[in-house]
Amino acid sequence: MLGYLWGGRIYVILKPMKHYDEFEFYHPVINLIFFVLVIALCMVRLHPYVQLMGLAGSFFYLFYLMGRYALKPLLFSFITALGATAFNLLFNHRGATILTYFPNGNPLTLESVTHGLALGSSLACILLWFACFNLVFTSDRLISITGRFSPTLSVLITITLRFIPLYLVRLRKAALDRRLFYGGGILSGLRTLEAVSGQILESAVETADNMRGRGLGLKGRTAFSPFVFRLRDGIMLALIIAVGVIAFIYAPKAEYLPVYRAENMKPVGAVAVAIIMLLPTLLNYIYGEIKWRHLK
Amino acid sequence: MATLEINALSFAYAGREDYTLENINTVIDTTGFTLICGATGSGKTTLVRLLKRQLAPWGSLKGDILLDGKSIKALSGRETVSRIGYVGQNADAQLVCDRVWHELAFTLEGLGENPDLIRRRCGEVSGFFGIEDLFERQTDTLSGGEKQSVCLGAALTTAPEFLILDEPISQLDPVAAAEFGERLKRINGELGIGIILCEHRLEGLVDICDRLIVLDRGKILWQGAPHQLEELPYPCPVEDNLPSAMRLYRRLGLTGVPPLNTAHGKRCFSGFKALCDENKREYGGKAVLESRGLYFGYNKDKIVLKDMNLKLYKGEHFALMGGNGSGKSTLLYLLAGAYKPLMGRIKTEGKITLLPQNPESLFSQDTVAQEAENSSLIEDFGLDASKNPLDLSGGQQQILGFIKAVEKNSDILLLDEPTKALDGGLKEKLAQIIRELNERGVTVLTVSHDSEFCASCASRCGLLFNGSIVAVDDARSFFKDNICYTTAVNKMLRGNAITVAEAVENISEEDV
Repeated sequence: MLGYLWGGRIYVILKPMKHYDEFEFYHPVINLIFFVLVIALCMVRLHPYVQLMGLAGSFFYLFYLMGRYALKPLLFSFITALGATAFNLLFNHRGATILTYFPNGNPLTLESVTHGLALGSSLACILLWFACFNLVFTSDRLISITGRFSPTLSVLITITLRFIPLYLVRLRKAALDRRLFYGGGILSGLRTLEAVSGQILESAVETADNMRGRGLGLKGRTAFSPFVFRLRDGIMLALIIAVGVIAFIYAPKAEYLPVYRAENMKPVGAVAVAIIMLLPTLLNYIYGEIKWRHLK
Repeated sequence: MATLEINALSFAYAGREDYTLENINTVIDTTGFTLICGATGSGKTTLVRLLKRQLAPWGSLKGDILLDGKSIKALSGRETVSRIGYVGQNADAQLVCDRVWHELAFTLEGLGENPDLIRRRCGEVSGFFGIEDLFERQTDTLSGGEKQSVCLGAALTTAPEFLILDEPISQLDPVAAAEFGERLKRINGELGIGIILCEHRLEGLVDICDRLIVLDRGKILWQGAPHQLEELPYPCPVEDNLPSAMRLYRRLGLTGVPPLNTAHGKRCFSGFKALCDENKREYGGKAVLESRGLYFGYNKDKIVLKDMNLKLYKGEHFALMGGNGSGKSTLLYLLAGAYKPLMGRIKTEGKITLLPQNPESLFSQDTVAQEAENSSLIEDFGLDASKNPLDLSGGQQQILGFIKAVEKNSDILLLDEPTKALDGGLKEKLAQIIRELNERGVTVLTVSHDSEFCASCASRCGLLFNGSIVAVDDARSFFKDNICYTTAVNKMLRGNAITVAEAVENISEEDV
């Protein structure tokens, strides 16, 4: 949850860089289910083919959304993946094929390297998919999904999402103002926190009054959402779930330890994995391009 | 006629003996535009909050309030919410949602309306106000004026009979405030939704309202239509907050219907002119603060200050004006050393103190007396020394911040919008104290939208535009030659007077 709140802030910063997105035209439920599916698939299937597709899909999508700004999260996830690989080959000594020995006598095995690479790429996939998720699945999408289950919960979330950035902005502003006015000091941070908390409590009373005046607490609250679930959303949802289930069932499994063993890849699994992973990419680069060209 | 009848209303806050409101009797036309004014502490906020049950303060209430002949106590919660809209002073505390669309939908959601109706109303309101572009924005990325417009839009979605507004423009700059006034006029004129507005700054509002109620210490001092304003006793407690044209008219003791805005004033004073002595003070020698070729921006996308040159001399008061987002505040923070410029140099001599726009973050003590030791200044400005700083009104907090800044005995004072939310009397006092500081050799740099204030106490003025200062002149020439960034008096009167006080002193009739 906290990560999501920070995600909200990141969204504000990145918003001007975000590209037009075909996938965003679909209902938030579809965005959510898609991301859950691809992230889960990248987590549980460590087969090189799945990982490769995951990396390609998330990278192309992120690159489409952010352009050259995608390099930063890409670099970050690359370093994380390398770190995971290094960690695995240093501390995991299982595996049948011994390549060499470390100075302390522990073996370095081929399997620990490949397993590390698979784990690293899985981690990188998750990070990249989450970067896309942050850009696409904005807070209003979250609110409109929760509103379907509980209007009160959705109000609670929106208030929280409003309150935290407000508090942080005020805190930052107050810290600057106070530093300039009083100079720094050991207790200055604490005093700032105290002063801002007082202010926030004061204005929270006003906010509460205002919310009551605007009908919070009346019986039978409804939840409004600017997103409407249409037929095309239904079709897309069915497609994603069908392909997702097929991908989960038929995606090739692989074991790295003690010896690398992988299932034979079935064509249906390969196609399903490719479709689900590359769905936003296909939508944006191919379907979107064709559509826009015909428009002209 | 739809009416709101207030009969013998008296109100005392819980735990207090004295009445905040005493024997209020009035009939408000809920299809009209009613302006309630009064000095700080006159009870206007209490009065309007009593009109909506959910906002009514705790205390003992006598008398009754009837909406179309029925007591407002008899209205259900749902009815009160949908029939009476409310917009308050502090836009940040008003906005409860993360997104603008949710903010607009909030009240209707509470009333349990269906999504189609909500969608329709949101669309209508956004379209009417021209805030469609904001619909998907996050509320904390909006500017002050935009926030207040969203609050106003959110109050309209239930199609209320009338709106209550509690000092909605006191925190806005004049441009946004004028826009807000225009919106209110449209809501009233085009939609027939009544407006009950309480405000202390009356410039630009008196001529658009159709009824005025003046409160003084909890009692109604005067009520009537703007064309009856001749009967308003002189001097009255809101004298300093009246529109400049009217103020000048009343100070001169003229009879007849007073002019309500600058255009009326220009017609009214066409046979007069005011000539003042040019008492230019030459400043020279070494500058105490100098910036040369300053460039600054918060990010690569927008450079706020470009080739900014500024020189301040000892003991002068420089007033910097300019539009919203022109970088005025940024310049002050840069001069105070909060950021490093991208290019250019800042040379300063002596201690600098920056008074931020919202000084409330500087307060952390329990009482005003603990916060500032200078009791003579506290008394001068009429602050209650035993009060908690956070309980003060916006204007009073501004003053307390100013007193704290003065106490630091700095050589250079940087003031960011010191007159925001200040009422007329306090403003004059503030100008006087700044003049005294100047005489003691303190240099003051003020950033302000308030041309009247700058004209009354600045020695030099400048206009910040497109990242640098485009006009620097002594205050009189600056305001005399400007057409927008100038005072109402200069627009109305021939001659070179720029403040009401000067005009009153030097006015003479001339043959046309």
